[in-house]
Amino acid sequence: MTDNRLRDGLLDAVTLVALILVLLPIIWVFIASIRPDADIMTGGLIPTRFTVEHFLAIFARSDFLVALRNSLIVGVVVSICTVLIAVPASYSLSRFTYLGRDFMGFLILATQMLPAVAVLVPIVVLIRSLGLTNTLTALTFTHLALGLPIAVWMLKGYIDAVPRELEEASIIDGSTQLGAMFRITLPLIRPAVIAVGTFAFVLSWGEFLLALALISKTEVKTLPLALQTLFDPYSFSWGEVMAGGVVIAVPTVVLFLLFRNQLVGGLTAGGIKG
Amino acid sequence: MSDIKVSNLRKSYGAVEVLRDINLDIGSGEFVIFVGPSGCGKSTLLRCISGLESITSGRLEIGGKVVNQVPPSKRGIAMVFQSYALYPHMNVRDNMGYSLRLRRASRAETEARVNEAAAKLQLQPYLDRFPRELSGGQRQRVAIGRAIVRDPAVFLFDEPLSNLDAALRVATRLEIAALKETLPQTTMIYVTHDQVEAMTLADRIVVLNAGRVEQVGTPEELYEAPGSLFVAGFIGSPSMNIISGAFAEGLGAPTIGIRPEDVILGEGPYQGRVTHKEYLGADSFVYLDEPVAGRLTARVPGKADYPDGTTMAFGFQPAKIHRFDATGKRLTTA
Repeated sequence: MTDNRLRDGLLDAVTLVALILVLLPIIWVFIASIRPDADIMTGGLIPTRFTVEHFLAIFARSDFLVALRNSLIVGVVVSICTVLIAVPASYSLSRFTYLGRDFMGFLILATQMLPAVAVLVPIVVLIRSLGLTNTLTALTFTHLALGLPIAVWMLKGYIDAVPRELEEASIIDGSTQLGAMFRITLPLIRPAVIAVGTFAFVLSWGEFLLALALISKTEVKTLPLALQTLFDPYSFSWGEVMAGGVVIAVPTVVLFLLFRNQLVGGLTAGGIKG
Repeated sequence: MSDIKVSNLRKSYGAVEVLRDINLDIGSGEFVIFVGPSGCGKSTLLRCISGLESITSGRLEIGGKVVNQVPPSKRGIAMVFQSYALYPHMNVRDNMGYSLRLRRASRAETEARVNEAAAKLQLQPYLDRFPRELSGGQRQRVAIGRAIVRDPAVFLFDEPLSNLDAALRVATRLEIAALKETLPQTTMIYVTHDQVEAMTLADRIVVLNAGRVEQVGTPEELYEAPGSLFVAGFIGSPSMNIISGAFAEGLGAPTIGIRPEDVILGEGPYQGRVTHKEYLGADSFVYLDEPVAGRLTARVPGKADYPDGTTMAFGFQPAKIHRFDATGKRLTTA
């Protein structure tokens, strides 16, 4: 009994430490964004004065608003396209048998073996030769390429877990194979589809490296690039940088809050029992 | 018309031939059961009939029409799966009405037919529940209800009771028998490895072995006159005593078979040593060791009060001896 309590206590303590390590920078960013500049580096963690001037300042900047719009456009398009491409691709890998299927699956997975930095140069060369530099299209395609492989494999795992008999029952009941996918399989893997869409959005929303390599014009910059411009050596404000950080974090936090049940379901659901 | 005719049907997966030259005639309204050991192809044959598996060669007719290329939903069949295959995200009502919604039936018609099937299977209290909120038996009834709603010409059951516990299996078996009574025009094909289900439900049993039809007949025919050694050993529990060699030669065939209940203990020309007994309540199994015949099983009513190691006389009624030739085929004359 005492051993159990001790073990539970130790586990709780470890969890708490891990949680503090993860949350402390986030809390610090949020608190710093609502404190006057003077308090950010000098004051303690508990704020005594509050201000919204940093938020007003960054929202007064047209380049930041343009970047916010660009990030939203690219993020939403990437998220929707990821789902639209990953669902049929993973369904095909999971349900159909054809020549080269396993090799194709391996190739999709193999793209994850190289870090993004390793493919950065070829991607930049490719985008330049296509004349797409400094376009949101370039960002959309590259972000799609980054997130799709994981999305396909993640969804394939969930589709594999849906018993084929459910689709067969639907086919006997009068649907086609595609009809069975839409009416039976898709509703059952909905949490995973939402998870995949959310992750694609988050990945695109926070992506910096490719954006830095492909975008230089202000009118097509995304939020991570716009945030970088806040580190202006002539008029630098920690408060504005932190407020920018909060703005970048808000949509992902909202998405996770909106879909938290679905996401947890999507991450933990193993099999589906009839 | 829902008769089924299978002619020279073959099914291969690459080089592996799973079904070989299957020929079957199933009459309209008949209840036919496919039995056989694991891997004999009984489920594959059912899936070929359903259309879920394509046929490599041969011909399949349902109601006089060749349906080789007809999709499952157009064959006039309904299927009950071993795992129930209820749609987890739909409640019982939606599960049962799914096929009608696909057919774009009116809401009133769907409601009426679902209610009618639910009444037949005592499912009315569960119509708004989800499959996860039902017991195994209730789920199986919903699966049957979903099939009934389609008003099919042919009902296919793929080991529908194997996920149920023993008591529920008996109860559901009786329900299926009662269901058959209410649907006299519907042809039913049922796959099982449980020979009690086969013996109690079937009008005719199809015994499959290694992708071939071994014998087709009524339960009585298969039990009383098995056409081959395989059927003799497969049908009946405990299995028929199969004896070869000098002992069988002495009784007029290369191989003979004797049902355990046809072994007469306490009298007869042979002597066997009791090695083991199993008491089952209504009857007991007595295992005997005979020096030439080998191990034999006898079934005796009530409790067998023979101590292990006792040597006792035994014999058989000559008319109850099944004789087989060297290839395992039944000999019609003694």
